[in-house]
Amino acid sequence: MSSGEMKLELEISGGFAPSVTSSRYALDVASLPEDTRKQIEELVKELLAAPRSTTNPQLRDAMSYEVTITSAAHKESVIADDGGLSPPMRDLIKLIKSFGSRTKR
Amino acid sequence: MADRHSVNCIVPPHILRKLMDSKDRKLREIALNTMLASTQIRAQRNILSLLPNALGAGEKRRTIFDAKNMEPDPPLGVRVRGENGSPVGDPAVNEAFDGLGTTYDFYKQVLSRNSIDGNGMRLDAIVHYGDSFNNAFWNGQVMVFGDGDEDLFTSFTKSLDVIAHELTHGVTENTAGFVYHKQPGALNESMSDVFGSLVKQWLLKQDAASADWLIGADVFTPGLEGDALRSLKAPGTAYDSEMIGKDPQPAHMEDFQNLPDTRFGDNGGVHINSGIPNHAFYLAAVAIGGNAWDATGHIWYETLCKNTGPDAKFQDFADATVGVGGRLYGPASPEQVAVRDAWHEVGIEVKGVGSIRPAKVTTTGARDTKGADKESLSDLHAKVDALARTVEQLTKKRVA
Repeated sequence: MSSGEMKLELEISGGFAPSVTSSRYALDVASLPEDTRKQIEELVKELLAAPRSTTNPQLRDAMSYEVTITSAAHKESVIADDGGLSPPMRDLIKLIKSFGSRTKR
Repeated sequence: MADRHSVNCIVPPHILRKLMDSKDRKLREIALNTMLASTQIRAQRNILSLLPNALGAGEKRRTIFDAKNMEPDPPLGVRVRGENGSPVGDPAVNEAFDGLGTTYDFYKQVLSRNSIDGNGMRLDAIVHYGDSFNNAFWNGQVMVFGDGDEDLFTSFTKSLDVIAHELTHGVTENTAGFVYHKQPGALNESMSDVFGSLVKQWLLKQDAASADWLIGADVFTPGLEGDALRSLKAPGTAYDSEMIGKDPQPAHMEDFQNLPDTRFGDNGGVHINSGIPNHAFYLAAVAIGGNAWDATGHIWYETLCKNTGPDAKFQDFADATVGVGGRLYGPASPEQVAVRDAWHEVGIEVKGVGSIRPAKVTTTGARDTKGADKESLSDLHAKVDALARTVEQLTKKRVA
């Protein structure tokens, strides 16, 4: 997937105070500097290659994170909860929050 | 779904090994730190398992770990203070340690409960979790606290009711086990708010009338408009700000919010609709008067432990609290009537207690038992219990 045509969305929900912390971000990767685009491309590859598994049913007050990656030919979402974020997911969330625009709190 | 593991497991070594081979230096560093932290935790657990009597039953066993602003999966950290350790220079560590201690003491001294599982379970907490992490959560084993982003929140260890809230999730898990969806999930959240508030009231020696009934008042940054995250006294009024919106909690069944049972629907509004049972507790406590942890707290706790189940809805829980109120304090007692009336005020009519005299308890606690029906449901419950005991004794004698 080429990062040039990639769009990322992040939806954060749940948590101790979901009505306060829930938020949504959107990021058009094409608008970013080349080095950041490449970094995101690598992270997306790692994220999509990482194994998927089940959620922890004992979690209480945890926040959930859904990252949706959209390109011309592909759309895929990855969901994880507090305490269960893989390193690429965590880094991607930071980048989306830093460079993306918040569309909803 | 991203890689996710039970808290009782360590991240599979093959994943860590794969990360160690990554070209990304940061990934390698994280994998190495996780492996080191995992090894440390495993070693600590192994040592503790060899010393089962190091601390006697009934003693507090608190351990605070520092995640050092990382987010290891499962949540791990460096051990920074144990039960016999002195205060350290880090306020978050001491706040978590003291908060767990106060909550433990409340459950032990007020409700005769020995820790989360009733059997002296050790209390582990992780502080400094994540980078500017705006949350606190319970993962089935450990309480996890973030530092906040200093934009919305400060450190979550600053609020005793937040610490007690998280610990109470463990108590609920070990008692009623309310499933974390829809109404049972909202009851789960409500138990954490109710006992979270009671722990704070108990520490501050506040009676029901003087308590603030707020949850998370100390974690909001000073610049944010709002008193707290939730209010049991007046759900829906805890905050109202351009930056974060308005507190959405309902106080009455008429305003119950039917949200989707998804992560993004707050599992059917578990943190939203909890405002209704929260408010019922507040109303009952104020009507009964005195310390909320006494009669009202005992009625709720008894119900949580012995008189409700994982799939209970508000109506089931309300019915049970009124039944327990009658059993603990007598049929048509001011306590039972207050509980029944509190549920009525939030839009839940309790079934099967039509014989209770309908008069309300006054705020001064005046009691009028005229007309009370001695054959109330509570009486019948007591008789059935007594009969069951008699049958059991007779059966034992017969077998002997």
